[in-house]
Amino acid sequence: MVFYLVGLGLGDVKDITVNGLEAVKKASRVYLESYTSILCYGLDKSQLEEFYGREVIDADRTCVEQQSDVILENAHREDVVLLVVGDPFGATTHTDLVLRAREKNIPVRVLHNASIMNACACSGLQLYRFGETVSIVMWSDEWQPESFYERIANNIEKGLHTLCLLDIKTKEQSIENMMKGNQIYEPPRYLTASAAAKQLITISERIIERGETPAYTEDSMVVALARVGWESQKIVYCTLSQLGDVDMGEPLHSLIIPGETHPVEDEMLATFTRR
Amino acid sequence: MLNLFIETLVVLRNQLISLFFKLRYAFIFCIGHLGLLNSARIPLLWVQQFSEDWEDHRWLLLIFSYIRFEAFAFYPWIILAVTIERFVATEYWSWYEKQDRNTVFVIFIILFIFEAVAIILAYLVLYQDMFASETVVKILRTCSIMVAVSLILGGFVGYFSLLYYNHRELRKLQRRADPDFDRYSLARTYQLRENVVIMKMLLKLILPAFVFASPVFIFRAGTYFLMNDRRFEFFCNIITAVTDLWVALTGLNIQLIFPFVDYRFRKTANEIRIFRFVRKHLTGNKVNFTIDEIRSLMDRKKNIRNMSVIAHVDHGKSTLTDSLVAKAGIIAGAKAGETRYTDTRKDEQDRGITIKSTAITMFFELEMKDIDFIKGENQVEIDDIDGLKEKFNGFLINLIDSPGHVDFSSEVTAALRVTDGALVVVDCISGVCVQTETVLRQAIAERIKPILFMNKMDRALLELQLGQEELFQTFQRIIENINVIIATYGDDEGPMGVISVDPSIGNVGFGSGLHGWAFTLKQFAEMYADKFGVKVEKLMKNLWGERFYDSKTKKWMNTPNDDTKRGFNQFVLDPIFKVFDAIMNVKKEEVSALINRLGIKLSHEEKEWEGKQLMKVFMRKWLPAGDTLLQMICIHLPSPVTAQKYRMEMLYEGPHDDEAAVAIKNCDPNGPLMMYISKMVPTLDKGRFYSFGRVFSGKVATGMKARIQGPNYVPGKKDDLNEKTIQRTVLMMGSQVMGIDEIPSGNIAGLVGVDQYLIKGGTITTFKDAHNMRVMKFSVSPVVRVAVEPKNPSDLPKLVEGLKRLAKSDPMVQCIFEESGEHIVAGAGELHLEICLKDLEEDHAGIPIKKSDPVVSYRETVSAPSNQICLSKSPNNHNRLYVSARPMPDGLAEAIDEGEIDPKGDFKDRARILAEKFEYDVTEARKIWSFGPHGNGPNLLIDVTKGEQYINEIKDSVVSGFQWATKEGVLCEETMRGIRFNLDGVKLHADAIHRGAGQILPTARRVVYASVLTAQPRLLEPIYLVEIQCPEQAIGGIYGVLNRRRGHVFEETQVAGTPMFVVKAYLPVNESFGFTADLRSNTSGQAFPQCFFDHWQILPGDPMENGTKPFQVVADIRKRKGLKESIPDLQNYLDKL
Repeated sequence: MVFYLVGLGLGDVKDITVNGLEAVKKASRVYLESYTSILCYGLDKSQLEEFYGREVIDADRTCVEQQSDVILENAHREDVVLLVVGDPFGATTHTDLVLRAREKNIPVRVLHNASIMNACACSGLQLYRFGETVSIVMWSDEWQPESFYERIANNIEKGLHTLCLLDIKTKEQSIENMMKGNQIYEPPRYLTASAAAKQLITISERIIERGETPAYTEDSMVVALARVGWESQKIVYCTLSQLGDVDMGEPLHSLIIPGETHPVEDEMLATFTRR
Repeated sequence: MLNLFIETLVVLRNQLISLFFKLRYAFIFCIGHLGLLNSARIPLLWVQQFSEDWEDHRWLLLIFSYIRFEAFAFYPWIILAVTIERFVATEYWSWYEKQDRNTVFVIFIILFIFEAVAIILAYLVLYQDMFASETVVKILRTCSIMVAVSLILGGFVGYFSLLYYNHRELRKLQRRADPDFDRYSLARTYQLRENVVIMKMLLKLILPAFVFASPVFIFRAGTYFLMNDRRFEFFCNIITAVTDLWVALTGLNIQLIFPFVDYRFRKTANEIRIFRFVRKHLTGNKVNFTIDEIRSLMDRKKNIRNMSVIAHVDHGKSTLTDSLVAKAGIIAGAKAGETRYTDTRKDEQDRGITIKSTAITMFFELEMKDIDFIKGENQVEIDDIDGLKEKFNGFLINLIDSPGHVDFSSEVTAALRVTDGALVVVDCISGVCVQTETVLRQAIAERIKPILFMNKMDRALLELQLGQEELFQTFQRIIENINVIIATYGDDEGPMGVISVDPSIGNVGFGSGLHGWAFTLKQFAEMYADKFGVKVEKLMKNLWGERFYDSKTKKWMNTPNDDTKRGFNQFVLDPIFKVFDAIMNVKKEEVSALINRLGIKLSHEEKEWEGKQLMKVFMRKWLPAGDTLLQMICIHLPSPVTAQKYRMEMLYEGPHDDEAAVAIKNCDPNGPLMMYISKMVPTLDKGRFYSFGRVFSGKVATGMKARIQGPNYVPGKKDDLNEKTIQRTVLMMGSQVMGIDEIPSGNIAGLVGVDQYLIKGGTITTFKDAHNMRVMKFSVSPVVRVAVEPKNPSDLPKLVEGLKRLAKSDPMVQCIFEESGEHIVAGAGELHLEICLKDLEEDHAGIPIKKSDPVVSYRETVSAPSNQICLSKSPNNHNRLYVSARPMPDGLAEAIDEGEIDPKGDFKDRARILAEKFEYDVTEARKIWSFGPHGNGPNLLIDVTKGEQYINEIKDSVVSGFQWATKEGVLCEETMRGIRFNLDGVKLHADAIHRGAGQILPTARRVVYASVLTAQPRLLEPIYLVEIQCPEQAIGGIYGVLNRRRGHVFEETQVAGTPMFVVKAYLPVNESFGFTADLRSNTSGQAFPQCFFDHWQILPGDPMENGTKPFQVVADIRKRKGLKESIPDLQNYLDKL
């Protein structure tokens, strides 16, 4: 019948739209995409099941990316719902799934919801003034990509704000286990705002070493957001180097590097200044 | 009044005198006790020297030396005489030791009594007041003086005559090139040398004492005659008092001299200890290395020779080694050649082949006359004895006997790494064989200096009955062959200097290990040097090559004519041929004439012998192999100091100017420790191993903390690095070990407590920034494998444990745990596997095991470029990789295997070689991302994309995927080989999170698989080069067997001068199981094959096509590995746009 992509919003179970809730109630199978973001319950889906009064199937990365056929199975005869934290086409783009459903002639319906892409406006920065969104990758000893710097720099040059999404690894295999084909996953890890700030500082230092001027310095002001849309939402406005020492608490965190600001924006930001 | 005064004076004098006497006694008593230990040391030392169980007599010696000292203090001349006479006695004692112990004993007893009488008389004279009768006193005095004088005179005469005799004897022994110069006379040399040293010292020591003592003697003697005359009483008393004082001072003086004496003696004592140990060693009674002695020799690094013995199988390495072992006195000379001491394992003895390389440490003293032949400042230590510069002639030789069978080549590689020189043994009948070339090539690549030994001359003479000129030609051909190999892989201008072998400089030996005789041209040149009146070196040049001797004009010519004979034939072969002729044809008179002329000493029993038996003992006494080898080794092989100068750059991976590199270069015992562990040797304690290796710099000591760096260690990282305490350092002596406190640079050592941190080998260091020592490159690869399982399933844990131990104990064997639960053991050949499995069953696991039929490992390759540029998408579909595969040009895979193209080398050099030799585009060749598998395999991943963004960010992930794919190929998860992959393009997600390793790595693997499947994949199978020696009539049978086994002959030659043929053929390893037995049965045992892994060859047929041979092979392998039976479809890996 229909393949629903339902946005869950950012906060708790009740953030789902009425349309969405109805779709969930009548669907024959409900999947929860659990690898790009989390609700305030973390990785525990029992609260969802209780609220919807039905079973919710966990869909991890392999399930969504490699076994989409399983999700879409029989979808032209019955309703299937994929729950996505935030908006289905927000930070995580599920276009691929839509394309595959189209291939199979399955009608797709998308029920939107709030996403970090718009909720970040709670910092007082205007959504119109945001440039390209970047993801900041969790560095390992060997793998320390810097490609996002380029785009942050571009945004700053144009006077635009940059929303930085921070890497989450809820169910990742180590390379060794991937090679051996072991279904063993690393414990979930989340990049914190302070760690991201440190990475950004490292990059700026490397650029200085190369003899260039970085687009930002460790004294640049940034906004750190934690758990947007949750009850315990926390926003801090401080310099990058200060942020390195701030404990933003539980995941998920995001970071905004403001470009040129409007006086109203400044006023709003000032309320988040760390005392 | 005056009388009273005089009386008082007399009383006072008497009081004074008695007080003085009391004081004197007290004084002497104290000094006597103080001096007791010191003075006891000297006789103790002497007795130690000559008596095995001197410890039992220690108390006697103490008492004796006490008495001696007491007497010494009073009557120095007596003790002087006694000492000298005692010395003479001990000298005679040792001289007659071998002949008549009873006579010596009687002489000794008589001397002892004489001495005792002298001492007792001296005491009686001292306490003469006890005797009433003056006559008795007079007699006593006279006797005492007479005995003392006679002892002094006799002693002096004996002393000087001995000094003279020793000197003469020593010079004679040193000068003489005497075939009689056997082990006993060598031992005698040491004894004479030490006697001369001791006597010279005594002379220095006793003369001043004597000068001190002589006034006492004269004045005292005077008083004896004047004492009874009242007129002189006063005068005599004064004299007595003065002389007593003088005696006391002498005693004091001696006490003062003693520390000095002790110092001098301690120095000699060390020398004596070395001499003693050498002598014991040489006289062959029992091996009695003490650790201190060896330790002191280890510091003399210029006198160390680390060497390995390498050769083709059955060319007689272990047999020849026996001659040296026998010379070291470890086995009896007569048993040399049969014992094969270095074959320590039972199966080695049973099969008659060496399986494990065995190290043995030996000490030798080179004859003084030979020591000047050693050239180079770092080749011998120079001692400063009493301001006299003397070259130290003791050599510590660490010898490693290596296996000759090709299956155990890895043992040779491990042996070569820790040594600096190699004795290459060649059977002069079969000549240079494949394995000779292989090991020689390896030696030169490792910068090991070779010397050559031409073995089995006895067979050439007795069985083949070669003539003199024929024999010379054979020798010359072999030497040429060897020099061709040396010139191919190294050159004389290289850092090692001249490495080609040349009989005329003496680094080529000839002889028979089995019969225990050998010579170099030096030996013969020495025999004739006097006769011709030319220098030995000059004569040696005439004894080889195109030099002819005209016996009429007595001149040397460069061209032969009717009157001339080749120098080698005339002066070297001719005498040997004469000996052989006389003995084998039982010409008794000629034999005894020869015995006399050559001065060979045979026992009565031996003189009765005939034929081969006599010949053996005759030749062994005339040209002892041990001496010849020792000379070759000491003179021509480099010391660690010399060798490490040029070996460092081959050994060390790090910068060539860091602290470790400099220390290695200088072989610096005070630098940071750098040690390479080349193999593991099982201990008696099951499951534990000694880590065997070479200390290149610094010192390795028991209990020290060191960094243990495995082969995967990268400086600055923590992988494969352990910082642990070395529990114990040991010396490896054949099958035995001895604990030792520390081992300085240049030596070979074993470590305890390191094994669990290393798999097969690694680097041990104390230097924090040290890089690794380069990993050994093996010439063979583990191509034959079997699956093993325990007969009793509950024994599985034991099997797994056993396999781990097996992997440690052998440098080459691989133990693989397959996903399917199979346990695979892979070895270099059938024999290697057989031995490994036997060890596993009996030793490492100790359980009965079942083994599958052996199977070979294959390689996967491609035979054409991919028919399309393959595309794979990442799981999230946002990243796309484009890759195509193509075969490498011929020879490139081998070049990578051999390290000619070095993955770790400079990329510009590499690109240049690739462009010049293999016609690669230089810019492309510079962009090689990786070698795979394991980062050094024979497959290439080249980035040919143009200006793609983020490409460097995914490089690591792509390389990992490539490594993974090349390690387990698409056809049947065998390793890939000889494939070049081009990364033609990429499409990446704009966001870094979406192109992480999790996305790229599996994609890279898939696209590599896809590109292989589209490039006509093929299987490669390993091919042996088989070398078969056989007589002509067996050739037909060989062809039959080879044809049945898909082999083909490519060369067939007759060995010059023999009826033997050598057939060379290629044979698939897969067909080689049971080949040897098959061949023997088809040629009635006349053919002896040797198989060497040679190359990889495509197994004809398409593995994708049902019904072909490769299809079947792939199906079998997949089944064995527990994979799906058919090759996965291309669609699994190739994505469409």
